Amino acid sequence: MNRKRYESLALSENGFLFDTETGFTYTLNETGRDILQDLIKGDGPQEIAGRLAEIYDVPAETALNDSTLFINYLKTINLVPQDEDNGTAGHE
Amino acid sequence: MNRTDFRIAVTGMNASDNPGPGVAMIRAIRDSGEFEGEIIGLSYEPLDAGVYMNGICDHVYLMSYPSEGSYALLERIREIHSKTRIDVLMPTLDAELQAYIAVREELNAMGIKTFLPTMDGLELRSKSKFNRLSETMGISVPKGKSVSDVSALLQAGIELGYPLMVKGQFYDAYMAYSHIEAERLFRIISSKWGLPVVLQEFIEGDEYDVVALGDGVGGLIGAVPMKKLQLTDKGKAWAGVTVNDPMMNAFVADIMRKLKWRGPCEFEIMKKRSDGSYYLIEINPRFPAWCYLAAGAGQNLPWAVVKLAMGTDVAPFGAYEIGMMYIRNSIDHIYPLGEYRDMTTLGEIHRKANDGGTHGKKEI
Repeated sequence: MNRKRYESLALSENGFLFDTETGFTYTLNETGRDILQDLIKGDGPQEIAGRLAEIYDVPAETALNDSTLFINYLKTINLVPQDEDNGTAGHE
Repeated sequence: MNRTDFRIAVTGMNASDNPGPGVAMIRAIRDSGEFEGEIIGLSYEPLDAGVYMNGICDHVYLMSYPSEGSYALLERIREIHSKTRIDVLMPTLDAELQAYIAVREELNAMGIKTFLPTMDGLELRSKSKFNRLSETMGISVPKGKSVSDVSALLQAGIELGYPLMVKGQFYDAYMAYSHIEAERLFRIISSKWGLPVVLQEFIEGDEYDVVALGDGVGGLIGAVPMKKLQLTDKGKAWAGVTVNDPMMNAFVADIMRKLKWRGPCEFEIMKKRSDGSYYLIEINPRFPAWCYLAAGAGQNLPWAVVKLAMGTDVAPFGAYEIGMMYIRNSIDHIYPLGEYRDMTTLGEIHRKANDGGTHGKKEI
């Protein structure tokens, strides 16, 4: 996977995201910020979902489904590389 | 250049919602930390807002319109120079460049330095010849056609496909989704800006603007790319932010190497959404009105032009600050009527002692 894309994402603690490559800005809520932060760190979808399930006290499958949806959305707006694992491998 | 009697004349003093670059360039020069001289504003209208702003111009002169030709221009500059000596002159508007380039040698002989594009360079980027850049220089530009009548418009529309951009020779660009719409725009634009009208393939993607300075032999002294964040109803940038797209920066350096542009310019670049490829969609032969952002981001390009005009070597700028943003604002300033009176009756304003002309001095 091409992780270079993440180098141009300036994500603030308060969820403000500036894409230095395109100039677009975004505002993420706490959960969105955490997921993107984890992706930037290099965590996989299972680890991200596991952490979400623990924080929000939801079943692991729900956390995985929700984070997968969000990661797919980030792919559609080209914030996340297209080949980033979204957690659906082995679930289809 | 740090003499207190060193004088720089700058045009483009209008500061409306579609401003000239003059005020931005003067602010950048004054921010350089190396300039202690005086600024002469050259204005086409007594009500140009830049004329009256505090801390911008030390002297102001009213100019005749560029349409009166280079002879009238030269005579007016000669008159101003005799009253208030000019060391460097920086034209900033598309419409006046040709006349200034034509009298560059005469200005130089008078001791007035410039750093302007060449006439060939100016011609090369004209909208009517722009589409040739792909064939002649290998610069990626959208397909385009210059048309002078409606039947040619129809044929070009078939070749380029819709939607397409309909552009005037000097200003104005609109998108047309059909031949009927293109024909209507052709008539509007040709009546305003003359013939030919330029049709350009529409590239769907995101537009970026780059303020740049070329050394005239293919080198890039500096370049700062910006993404517009907010537009006026005329489509002019009201806010923007510096970005860092290494591929686009390489594209800009390549354009400059091929064009060998001399002086200030602005590149308008489209990044195609479908495949991320870059297209040069326009070259403006002067700094844009937002050029103060370049100085704010660490590349004081207007001051670099002054140094180049004076024959000083300028090392290429390296990096610039990414994520620097500008927002224009619109506020009312209050002035007594006196300076407006002087502009309309005398055609000049002096806020500093005006004892630096060339009257009685021998010009070298």
